[in-house]
Amino acid sequence: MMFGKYFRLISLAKGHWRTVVVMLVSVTALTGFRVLVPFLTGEAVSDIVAKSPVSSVAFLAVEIVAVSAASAAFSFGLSYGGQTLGQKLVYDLRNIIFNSIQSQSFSFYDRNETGQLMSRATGDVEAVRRFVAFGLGQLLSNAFLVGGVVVSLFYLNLRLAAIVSVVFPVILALSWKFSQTQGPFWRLTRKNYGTMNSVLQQNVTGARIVRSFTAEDGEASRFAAANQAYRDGIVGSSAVRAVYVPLLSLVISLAVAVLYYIGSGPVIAASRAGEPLIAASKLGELVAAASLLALLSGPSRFLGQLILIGQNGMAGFDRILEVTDAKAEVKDRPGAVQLGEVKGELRFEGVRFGYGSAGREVLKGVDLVIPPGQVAAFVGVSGSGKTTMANLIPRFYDATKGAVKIDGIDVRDVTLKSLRGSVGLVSQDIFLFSATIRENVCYGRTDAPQEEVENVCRLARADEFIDRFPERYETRVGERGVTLSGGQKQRIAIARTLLTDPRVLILDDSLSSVDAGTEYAIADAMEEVVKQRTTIIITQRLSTLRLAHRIVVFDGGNVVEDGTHEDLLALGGTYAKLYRSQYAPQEVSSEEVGP
Amino acid sequence: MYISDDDPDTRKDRRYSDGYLIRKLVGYVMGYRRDLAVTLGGLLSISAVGIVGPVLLGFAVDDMLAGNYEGVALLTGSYALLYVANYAADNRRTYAMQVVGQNSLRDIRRDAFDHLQRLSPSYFSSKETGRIMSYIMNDVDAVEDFVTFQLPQVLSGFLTIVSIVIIMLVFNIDLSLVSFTVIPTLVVTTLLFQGRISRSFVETRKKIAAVTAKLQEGISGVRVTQAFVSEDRVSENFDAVNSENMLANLRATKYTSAFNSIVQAIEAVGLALVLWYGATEVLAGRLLVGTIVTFMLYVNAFFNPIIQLTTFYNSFQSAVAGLDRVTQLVNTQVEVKEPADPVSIDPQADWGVELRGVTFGYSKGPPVLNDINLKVEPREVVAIVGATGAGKSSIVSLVQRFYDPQQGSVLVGGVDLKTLRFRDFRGRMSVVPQDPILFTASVADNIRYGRPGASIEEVKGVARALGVDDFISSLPDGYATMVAEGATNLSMGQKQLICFARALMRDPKVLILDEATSGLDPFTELKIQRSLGAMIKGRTAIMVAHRLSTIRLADRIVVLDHGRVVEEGTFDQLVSVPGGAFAEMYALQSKQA
Repeated sequence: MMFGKYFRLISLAKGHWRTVVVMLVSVTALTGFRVLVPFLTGEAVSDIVAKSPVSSVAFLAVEIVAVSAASAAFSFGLSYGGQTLGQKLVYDLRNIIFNSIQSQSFSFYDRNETGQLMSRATGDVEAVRRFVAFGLGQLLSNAFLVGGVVVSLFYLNLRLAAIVSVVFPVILALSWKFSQTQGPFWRLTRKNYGTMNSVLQQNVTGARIVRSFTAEDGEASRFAAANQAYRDGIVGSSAVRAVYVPLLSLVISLAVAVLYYIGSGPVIAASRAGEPLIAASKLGELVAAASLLALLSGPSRFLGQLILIGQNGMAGFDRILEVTDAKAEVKDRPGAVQLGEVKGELRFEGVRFGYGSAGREVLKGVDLVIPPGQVAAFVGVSGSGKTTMANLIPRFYDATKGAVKIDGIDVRDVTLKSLRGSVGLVSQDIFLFSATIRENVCYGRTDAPQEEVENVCRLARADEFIDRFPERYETRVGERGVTLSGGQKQRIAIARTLLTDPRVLILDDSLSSVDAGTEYAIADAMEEVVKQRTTIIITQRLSTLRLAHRIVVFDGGNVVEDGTHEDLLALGGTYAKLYRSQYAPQEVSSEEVGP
Repeated sequence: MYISDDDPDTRKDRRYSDGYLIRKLVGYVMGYRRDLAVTLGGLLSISAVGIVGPVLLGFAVDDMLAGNYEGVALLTGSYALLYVANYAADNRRTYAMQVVGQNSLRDIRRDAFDHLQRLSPSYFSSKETGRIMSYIMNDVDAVEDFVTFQLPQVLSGFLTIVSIVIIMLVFNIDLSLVSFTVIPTLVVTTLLFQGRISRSFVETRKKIAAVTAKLQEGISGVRVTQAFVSEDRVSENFDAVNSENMLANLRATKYTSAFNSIVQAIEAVGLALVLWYGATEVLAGRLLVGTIVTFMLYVNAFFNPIIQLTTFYNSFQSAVAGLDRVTQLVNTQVEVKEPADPVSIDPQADWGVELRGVTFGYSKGPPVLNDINLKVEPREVVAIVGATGAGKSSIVSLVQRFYDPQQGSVLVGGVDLKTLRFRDFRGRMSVVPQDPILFTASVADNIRYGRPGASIEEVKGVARALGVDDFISSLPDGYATMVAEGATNLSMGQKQLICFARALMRDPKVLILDEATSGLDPFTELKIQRSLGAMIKGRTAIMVAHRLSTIRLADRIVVLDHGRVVEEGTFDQLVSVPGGAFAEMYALQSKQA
């Protein structure tokens, strides 16, 4: 499991094997050249001590420069290759997480807060980026370097190597121990970060409410608590880090001291014995060995940082996998067919549905047939299941039991693309993009000609306010643009859906913020629109019902009444009560209203 | 949008100078002097050890060649002890450095958030949620690496370089000067590259901003995208900014990798020079071999910090870019300010509300309200009706002093709002907003949002009085049911009912209903109206509506049209005005289906 995710991260590199080859070749050559320099240095020192002619030292000096130049070239290869690989992996990862979020089902967005998703797609990807772009190359070059240094030491002098090699297991053990302590800290830290993000998100979304209710102080302390928890987590991990990371440097330094002490024996013996040439060569070996060890001091200093980056990166990767591994609940089933020309008959057969696994049933076995071209109105009290019914048609959710059929075909048997292309739903909550009005209206059909755009805006009565903007359809809305009222947004949303000319049109309480006069005018204009399609109008306002051929009344997840306005009034049931509530409230008795 | 400087028309370079931003940062860091002192002390100790260590080893080499065994033992022993002693300093420094860094970041976040609480609602309508959030989250994050890692590294590196130069000169001037001949090359290379590296990192900051902006848009608009089967197009757009970002990063990488390689090569030249010149000097008998060993170690220590400079640049660029944006937030002027010396108002008295000669428009837009005079007497219930855009919601905003009018004044209890502290009047007003926003908390906590101390019994009492107890009790966990983000687990109407309870929980003097029943079915609306009748008694109330059904409770109706009061009177009076605006609206809405 634990190595599984490393494997998955590495397997992302499959597509970039050329870069990987460049890195491997570079790191091999680089290590070779790097460990060569200490040998040359040692030899030079030995020559100097032996009072060899300056020319031989000069020759070694030139060699050092040449070898270093070669190693610099390969170091470029490794560093650039490593970063390239890192950037490409992160590029892939960003696309993967983005597309995965795009293809999730609505229930997924219900469960996952936008702030949390955002922090995964930015903060967590950034953590992985730091690891793969910077850490991966470092990790590779350090691993090779340690190997190269060990081999070189043994080649140089067995006795010195045997003594010094003790440090490697120690460093490894310390690093392992350290990385083990950091994992939980970083997972906690990422979680704390998410919490802080959520608190902030709500505060910003509810800015007016916070002010209305003078809750600024409470909000500040809520944020302060999350902020402090985040800080404490990181500082807590630093306490552990402060023990281990300096220890790694210390181990190398102690190894150098021991090396000099042990290595000095033969040099001293030779010097005392009056053998300057032997002393010179022994000293050369010692300096070479010390220089080899010195190659490790830089990496050991960064090892701690590297481990942190690695742990943080893997914790981030974990959280990314949670998103990308989430199975889309609503997706094309194998062999799903293209939905052809739609006539527009809608059929609900024993449809049951509840939000989430633990949620209560919102629909309790609904049977309903809406013939092509009909305008059906769904009415009923809040929470009676009207919106849920609508959401099942374009498969924003799938029924838990029963089937929703369009022209007799189960919606789960056709491709989402063809289904949603034929069903236009204007929802209660309007989301517009930070773009021009035109771009928003054309969202579902980017190539629509201007006349058609203007035509649908006229039908939705959006033209009257659009024309008042100096830049008309090119007016930017949202950030850095004009702020639209709720009613204006709803009208743009209606136009946006009409432009796609859907066979099935669903208006989910989408005129609630529009004033009565405008609503009346839209209803007038819609008379033409609804002729060519099957339409469902969900509404709280019975005044919009004049378009409807038929009224379906919902209560507690069931269809309780179904018929024309006159039929239902005569029935004297739920609809009649709703109707009287709106038009003749004085006739509704207090017993009916209840406590 | 997150850091959404993606729009090329409005993309500005940074607003503040590096110097200003660094001073700001230093201000935060200086709040933790003790830990800062520990950090700096630790850095000094590390530099000192870096200077002394090589000297000890050089002497040890000389002692070896002199056959002095005790000297070698003493020197290597001291070397070991030196580093053991340094460990304590290193340990304290590593921890203290994080404390300084993380505390500073926490303080920056806290200050930004606290300032955000003081900003007027106009700020929030002019910017998207994600963008404001990114100031406090992503932009502060960008400072983290810089403060907690790069800055101390570079400081200690700088210290090391300076001390090495000094100690080399003290030790052996000739050998030092020979080694220093590589410095001009190094300086030229650094100058040649750093400008480019620095610019390329500025570029990557901009590109990543575009990526985050697209991400934000993609995530918040995903339902619309799916409804319009536009996933492919959205993905393509994302891929475009994503790959631009990758290319910018690769460019930056090319420069840094090349720079580092060249510096390594220069370092080798330095080493070679020490060996070659050292050899001639040793042969001439002017130099001991140990000194060469010491100098070789110095050359290595001298170049390490320079190689680190490249990552420092990257970190610095993102840090100042991030700081710049947080600072923009913290420096944003509060548009509607509390008075310096507020007047007091009797919280027990009944308050009327008055708009006196008010003219108001949003920022530079045309006036929404034109010289309005409106007086609501204490305990009076007034309905404000009119078409969309007539200015009804603006009145609601003005009464809460979310905005200040350009002309005229708004008064409660006879006192100008501008002379009162926010909590003194907002604390006694409650609003049921058009957009029923709830928080991710239990239903009970949402209801007592304005009175966090209220007991669950009090919460239930209000819900019962309002007639929403049944509905809340029928939720999966009753009053403890958690409201999901965006309250997706509640219907629009249910959210409005909770907002009603939340407003009444505070027992307000002034109750403002802003299209508060637009999401309710007629029956539930009627039910609420009837319970509201009792609850509204003894309070001053302003009801805004474009649906006439909601205004039956009103003592008086005010009809607005294009920012002016066009009619005023009781329901019966207005209905009977032939050709009157209200009479027409009423006729239109009473048309039966």
